[in-house]
Amino acid sequence: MKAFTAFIEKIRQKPRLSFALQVLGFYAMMMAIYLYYMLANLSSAPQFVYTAF
Amino acid sequence: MKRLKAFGVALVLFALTVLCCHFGIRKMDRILDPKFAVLADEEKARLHLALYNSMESTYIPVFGSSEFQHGRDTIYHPQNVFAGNDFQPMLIGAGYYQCLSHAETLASMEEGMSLRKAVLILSPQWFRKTGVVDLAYASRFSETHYAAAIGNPRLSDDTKEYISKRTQKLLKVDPKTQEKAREYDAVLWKKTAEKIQNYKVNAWLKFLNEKERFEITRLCMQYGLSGGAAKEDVLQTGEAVMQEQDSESADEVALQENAEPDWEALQQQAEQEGDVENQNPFYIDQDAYERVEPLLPEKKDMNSDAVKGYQVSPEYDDLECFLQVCKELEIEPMLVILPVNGYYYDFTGFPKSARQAYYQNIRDVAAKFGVKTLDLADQEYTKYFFEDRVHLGKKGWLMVNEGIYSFYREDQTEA
Repeated sequence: MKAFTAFIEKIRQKPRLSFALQVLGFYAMMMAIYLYYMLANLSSAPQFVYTAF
Repeated sequence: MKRLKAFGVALVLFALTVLCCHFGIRKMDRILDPKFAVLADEEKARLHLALYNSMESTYIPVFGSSEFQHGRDTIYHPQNVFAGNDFQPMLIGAGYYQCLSHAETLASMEEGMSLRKAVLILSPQWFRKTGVVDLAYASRFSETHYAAAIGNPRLSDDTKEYISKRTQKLLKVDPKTQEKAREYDAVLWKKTAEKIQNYKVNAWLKFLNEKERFEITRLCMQYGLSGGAAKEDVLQTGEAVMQEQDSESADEVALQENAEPDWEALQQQAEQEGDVENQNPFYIDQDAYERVEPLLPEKKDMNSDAVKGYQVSPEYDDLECFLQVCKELEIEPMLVILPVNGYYYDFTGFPKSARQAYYQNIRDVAAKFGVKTLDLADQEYTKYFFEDRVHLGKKGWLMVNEGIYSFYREDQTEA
C-alpha cells in the first residue's frame, strides 16, 4: 500500500505524465461507452427461447 | 482546469477515432464475398445495409426459416452446391422468420436488386392457428428493415397500413419498439411528425446504420469474409466439403466452376448415402431419429384431431402481403411449397386431408396472384428428403436448389 501511494505521489510530481494519464483515462471511458453502444444488443424485446423448428 | 483540458484533449482524440472507424468500416456496407450470400446466420437477416448493398446481378434473395441452418456440412446445402457459381442464392432467414418479416425485408432491400426475382420457401409449420408468434416476431424485428420498408415510396398506403397494423399487434410484447415503429410510421410514411421528432428519428436511424456496420464487420471477421474474394477461394470451399464426403461417390459429382451442378449425380449420391445413414421409420438422419425415439410413445397419434390443421391462420394474410409487396415492387416471386414428412406425420396421426387442404390453400393463393410455385407437396414420402422431422435433408435440398436454379435461369435461357 505504501509503495502504491508513493508511486501515485511520484506521478503527481510529473505534470506531463499526470496530464497524459488523465487524457488516457477520459479517452478510455469514452471509447468504452462508444463500443458498448456499437456492439451490445440493445433490443428491448423479451427473451424468446427458440424451441421448435 | 487541468482536468478540463485533459477532458477536452480526450474528446478530440475520441472524435478522431470515431471518424476513423466510420470511414474505415463504411466500405463494409457492401460485401463482395459470395460466401456472404449463402451464409446462414440469423444476424445477417436483420442487416438492411448489407443486404441492400450486396445484391449482385446474379443473386436472388431466398427467404426462408430454420431450414437454412440445417445440412450446412453436406454438399447438398446451397452454401456448398453453388460454390464457384456466379449464381448465388442470398439466404435470408432463420427460425421463426415468416412471411411478414420477409415482406418487410424485401421492401427494404429491393432497390438494391437488379435481378427482380425472389424465392419464398414456405414451411407448413408457419401456418399454425396463431401464425407467427408475437415473442418470436419481436425478438427478430429489425428497425432498419422496418424503417426502410415503411418509407419505401413505391409501396401503396394499403400495404403499409397492413404491415403497420400487424407490426403494432405483434409488438405489444415490446412496448418500447412498438412506440419506435409508430414514430417511423409518422416520420417516414404518414409525414405527420413534428420537426423535433423528425430529427430524433433520423439521428437514431443514422446511429443504427453505424451500429449495423460494426455488426457486419464482426460477421466478416467471424466467418472470414472478405470483399471481392477470388472465385478460386470459393470453389476450394466446395471442394473441401466434397473431400470430407465419401471419396468414391464424391468423385462422380461435378462441381465445375460456373457450371450447373450435376443434379442427377448428386441425387444418386444422396440416395447412396441415405441407404446407409437414414435407415429408420422416418428416413431421417440417424442422430435426429435417436433424439426423437424416446419421445415417440407420447407422440403416437397425438395430432389425430388436427382436422383443420394449417388451414386457418393469419399467416395466409401475411403471405398475401408478401406477394402484394412483390407485385407493387415489380418483383417476380416463386413460392416453394415444402411437404411435411409423411412418415412422421402419419405416425402422429396428422390427417392427410388436412395436409392436402393446406397445400391446396397455398396453390390457391399463388393462383390468385398469378405467381409461380415449386410444388413439392407430392414428396411427402420421398426417402431422405428430410434431415429430421421438419427440416430439409439431402434430397430435399437438392430438389429445392434445382428448382431455384431453374427459376434463376428461366429468362436467360429464353433470351
